[in-house]
Amino acid sequence: MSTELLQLAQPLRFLVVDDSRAIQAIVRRAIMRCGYAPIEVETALDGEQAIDLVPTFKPDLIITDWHMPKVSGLEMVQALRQMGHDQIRVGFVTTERTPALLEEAMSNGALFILHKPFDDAELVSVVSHAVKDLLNLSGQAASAATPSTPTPAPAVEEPAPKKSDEPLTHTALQVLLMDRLGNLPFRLIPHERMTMDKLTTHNFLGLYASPEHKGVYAIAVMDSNAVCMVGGGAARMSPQDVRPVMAAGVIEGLLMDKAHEFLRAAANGLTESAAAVGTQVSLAKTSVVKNTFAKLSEVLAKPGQRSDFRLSIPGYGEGRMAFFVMTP
Amino acid sequence: MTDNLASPDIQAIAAGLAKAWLFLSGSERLFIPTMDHATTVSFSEFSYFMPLQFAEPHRTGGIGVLVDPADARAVATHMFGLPVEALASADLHDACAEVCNLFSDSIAMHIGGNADVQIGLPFLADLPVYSAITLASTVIALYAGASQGATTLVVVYHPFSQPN
Repeated sequence: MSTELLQLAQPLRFLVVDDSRAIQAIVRRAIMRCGYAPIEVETALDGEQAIDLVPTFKPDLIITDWHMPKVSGLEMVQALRQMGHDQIRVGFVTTERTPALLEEAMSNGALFILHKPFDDAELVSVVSHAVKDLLNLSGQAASAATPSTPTPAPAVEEPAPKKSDEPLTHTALQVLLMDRLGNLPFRLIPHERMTMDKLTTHNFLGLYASPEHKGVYAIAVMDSNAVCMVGGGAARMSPQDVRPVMAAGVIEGLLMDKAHEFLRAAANGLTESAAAVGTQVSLAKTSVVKNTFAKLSEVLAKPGQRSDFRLSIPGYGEGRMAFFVMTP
Repeated sequence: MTDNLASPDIQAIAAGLAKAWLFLSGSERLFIPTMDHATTVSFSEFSYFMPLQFAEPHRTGGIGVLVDPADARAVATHMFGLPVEALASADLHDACAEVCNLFSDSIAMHIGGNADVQIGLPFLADLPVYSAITLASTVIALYAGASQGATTLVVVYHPFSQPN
């Protein structure tokens, strides 16, 4: 993902646990693409091996499969917690989809659950998010190690932000959803084009403005499923409570309020990817529109800058959202 | 469960297999449902089997994945990021086990209906084992993915005919 390496004061240690060495190789490559240096990657073929490795390797993040011989990923996490390794971060890369089991993993502190097959960008995104605060810690350590330097250079050098061709990048939305949904596992699939036939009866529209541009700068469209999932997840509602609302297809109340907050926060991502430097984007208005709303078909058919996503949350279902830049 | 087994979402399964194949091999391929069960299913050096356990009514089933040797090399090359010359036989089998794992997941999520379907661990089925499986089972669906002379097959076995 990054073309420049973030130079860390001390190595980030990753432990990849999977009974498939082929998947280990894929995960290892994705870790490399996160752009951190130095890093150390160790591998284990099952949870038992991983537990043996932890005391000596001291991983910062364990990325583990679920179904493995001997000791499963979940059993490994539970064992590590019982052994007092509460601080070790863990994320799952798995085919497991049973909601109760996923919730158990989350209750044991799993930071993410990424379902196979995944895009490399998705794994890079969740790994980056999982170790984000460790980068800051490394920076402090580096500063402390060079007391004679009057103005120590930051140990973590953020690469210059690269303007994206997309109004809202997959990574930016992934991080935003993590922030909103907390521990709720989800899957965000990019480039699934929103079309009229895929809209729900009622849809949520966000209009974005920018002082640098006349009229509407960008438009966000969320179908009612996405509103319920993002809103329900942000409100920490149970899937059982959200699913009937999804089935009814209504957009109102707390779920709509949470979706509004989500779209407001998405303005930061739109600002960061804006082609013109200095463009400040903010959410001006939201409204619920029917799929027969004439303007919608114009927006969805619009060529040019757009970001389309399908959101899937185990136990909830699937929804769609898209972001369109309206200015030339 | 029975409804889904009788009329599974074939398009969704085929799409899931294609997506998994893209992840595993880095190339696009269609997996087409075929009814030519009896003549097409045959043992392969890279034949893997995934047991399925249906939570309700506590029955078992399975997915057979027969990977063409050329496909085994292609998948392993992509997953390990190594040229084929650098790969050992164990690497090819490792990659094929993951093919079985992901293909089984792609199918299991569409044939369980509202029942939980637990997938197990994939295992290499040698000729005697695979023969035993095919003799004791009924094929309910077969998906074939072919490209450049290589064909990989995915076989769904009837859950009521699989021995526990």
